[in-house]
Amino acid sequence: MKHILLTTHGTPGARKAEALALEWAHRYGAKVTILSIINEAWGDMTCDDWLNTSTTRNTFGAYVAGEISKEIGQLWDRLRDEFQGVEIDFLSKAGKLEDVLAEAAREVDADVVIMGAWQQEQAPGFKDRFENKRLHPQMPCPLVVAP
Amino acid sequence: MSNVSVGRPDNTPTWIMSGILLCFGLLVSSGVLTGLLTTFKVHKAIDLMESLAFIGGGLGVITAILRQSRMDKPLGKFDVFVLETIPGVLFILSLAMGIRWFAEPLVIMMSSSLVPVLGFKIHKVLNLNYVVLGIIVGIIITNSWGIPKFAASGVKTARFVLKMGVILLGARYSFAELAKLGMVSIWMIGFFVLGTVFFVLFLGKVFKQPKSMTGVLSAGMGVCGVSATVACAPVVKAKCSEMAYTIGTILGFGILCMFAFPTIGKLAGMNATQFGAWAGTGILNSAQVAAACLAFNAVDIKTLKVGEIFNITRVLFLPVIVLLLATWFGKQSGQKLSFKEVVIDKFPIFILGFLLLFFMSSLGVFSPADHYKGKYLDFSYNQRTEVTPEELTVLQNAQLAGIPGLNAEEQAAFDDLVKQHQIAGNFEDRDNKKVFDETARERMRGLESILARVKGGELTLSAEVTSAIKHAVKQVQKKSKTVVTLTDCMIWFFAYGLIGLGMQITRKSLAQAGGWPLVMGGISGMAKATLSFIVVMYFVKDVVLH
Repeated sequence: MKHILLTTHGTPGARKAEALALEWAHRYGAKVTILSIINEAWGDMTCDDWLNTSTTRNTFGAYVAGEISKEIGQLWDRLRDEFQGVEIDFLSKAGKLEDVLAEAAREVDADVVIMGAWQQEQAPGFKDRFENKRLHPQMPCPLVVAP
Repeated sequence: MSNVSVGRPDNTPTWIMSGILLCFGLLVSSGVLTGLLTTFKVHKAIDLMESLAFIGGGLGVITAILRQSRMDKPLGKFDVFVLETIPGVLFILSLAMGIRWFAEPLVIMMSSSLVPVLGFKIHKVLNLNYVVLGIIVGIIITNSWGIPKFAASGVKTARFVLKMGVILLGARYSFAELAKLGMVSIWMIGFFVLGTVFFVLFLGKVFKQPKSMTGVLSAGMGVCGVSATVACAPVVKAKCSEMAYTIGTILGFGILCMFAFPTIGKLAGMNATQFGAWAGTGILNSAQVAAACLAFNAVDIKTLKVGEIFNITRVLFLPVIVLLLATWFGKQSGQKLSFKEVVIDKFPIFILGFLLLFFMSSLGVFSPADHYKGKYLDFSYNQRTEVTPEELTVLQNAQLAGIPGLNAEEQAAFDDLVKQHQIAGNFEDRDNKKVFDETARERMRGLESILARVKGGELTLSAEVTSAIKHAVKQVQKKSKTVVTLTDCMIWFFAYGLIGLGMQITRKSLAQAGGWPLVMGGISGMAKATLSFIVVMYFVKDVVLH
C-alpha cells in the first residue's frame, strides 16, 4: 500500500479514520492525502433571499468561502502536527460528497480510501452524509470505514 | 460538443417549450380548447392565454435561432443576460400558466369531488390556490429532478421579478390608506422586530450561546428571515455551522408559517387588514408574507396591500438592525465597519421604486381624478374583478335558499353573479364590446337595485349577502386602465417570482435546522406569531382601502 486517501472534517467519527490512516501510514510507509470536501449545498444557502442586492449576496458568499477555508486551514494545521513523520498532502474539493470522493481517489491514484463510520448523532457542522448506494459503484479502490 | 466549450446548455428544451407555447396558443385561438377551459372555468382568460402563448412562443423561437447561431462563439454580455436567461424565463412562465389555468382548477375540482368522503373542501383548508401551488411545484422540482440546466440562469430572474411586483404594488395605494397603514405598521413592526431581536439576544444569554450565533439568529427571526441572516452573517462573524443551522431553522419555520397562517386566519375570522397585519408581522420571510396574503385571498389584493406595507416597513428596519448588531458585536470584537458597509449597502433599493410609483399614482399619473369617483367601469373578464371565494359561497347559499321579493331583472343579475363570480357580459358576446358592456351594465343596475331596496327596507338580506353584492359592484369600478394593467402585471410577477423562489428552497438547506438555533428560533418565532396575533385581533381594525 503506497497511497492512502483520508477524508475528514475532524468530527468524532472522522477522528477514528484519522487514527487508522496514521497507523497504516506508519505500518506500510504510505503517503497520506487528506481530502476536505466542501459541500456543494453551500452554493444554495442564500435560499429564498430576494431582498438583498447582489453585492450583499456576493459579500455573504465570499464570507462563507473565507470561513470554510479558515475551518479547513485549522483542520489541516492540526493534522500536520499529528501526522509528523508521514508524507502528507492536502486536497480540498467542492461538489457532491460521493462524486468528489471517487474523483479524488482516481485523481491521486489512491490504493485505499479511509473514512469515518456512520454516527448516530451528527457532530456540529454541515449536516450531510455519504450515501452508500451512490458512493460504492463509483469507487476505483477499496473503501475502509474506520470503526 | 462545441457548446460544452463555451458553457451553453443544449438548445432542444428551448425549441420544445416554444413549440408547446405556440401550439397552445393556436389551440386556444382555434376554439378547440374552449370546452375544456369552460369546464375549468378559466375561459374568461382566453385573450390573455393567446397573448402570453404567442409572445412567449415567438420569443422562444427567436431565442433558439439566435442561440443556435452562436453555439460555437464565446459567451458575451448579450448571451449571459439575455439569450441564456430567456429559456429559464419561459420555463417559469410556462409553469405559471399551467398552474394558474390547469393545475389550480383541477385541484379545485378534485377537492370538490372529495367532499362526500372528507366532508370539507381540502383546497380551501390548505389554501391551494395558484400561488401556493406554484411554490410547492418549485420546491418539488428543485428537490427531485433539480432545476434543469437550461433554466438555471433564467430562474435567477425570480428575485428581480418579485421586486418588480412590489414596485408595481406602489401604484395601488392612496395617501390616506398609506398614512393609516403606515402608522400602524411602524408601531407594530417596530415593537415586534426590535422585541424579537432583543428577545433572541436575551435567550442567547440565558442559554449561554456565542454572540455570533445569537446575532445572526436574532436578525433572521426579527427582521426578514434568510435575507437578514445573509446580510448580518459577515457583520457578526457567524461560524459556518451557525449560519447553516440558523438558515435551516428560519427556512423551516417560515414555510410552516406560510401554510399555517392563512388557515388560522380564516378560522379566526380575520378580515383583510387584520390578516395582512398579522402575516406582515409574524411571518419571517418577505416573500412568504406575499405568498400567505395571496393564499388568504388571491382574488382581492386588499390583503396583499396591507401585508406588503408591513413587510416594507420591516425591510426598512434591516439596515437599522444591521447597524445595531454591528455596534453590539463590534464592542466585543473591536471591529469597525463603515456606514456604507452597514447601512447603504444593505438598503433595499427597490423600495425607492415602490415609493416612486406611489408618488406618481398620487399625482394622478396613472389615474385621472374623476376615476377615483367610480366613473370608470371595467366589466372585462378578470379574476381580479371577481368576488372572493368566501363571498361566492355566501351568494350560492342565498341562491339555494331563495330570496323572496326579487323582480325578474334583479333575480337575473343575482343568478349571473353566482354563475360568473363577477359582473360581466355574456361570454359569447366578449368580442362585441358594446353588447358585452350593455349586458353587464344591465346586471349591475339589477344588483344596485337590490342594494337600494335593502337600504330602503323593501327587501331583507343578510349582512353577508349585502356585503358580497356591494363588493361585486365595487370591483368593477376602476381607477384607470393603466392601474388595472399594472395590477394584473403585478399579480403575474408575484406568481412568477414565487415559483422561482420555491426553486431556491432546497431539502439540504432545510435539513440544516437544528442545534440551539432551532430551540431559540422556535421559542422566539412562536412568541412573535402568537403575540402579534393577539395584538392584531384586539387592536387592528379594518382600514378603508380603494
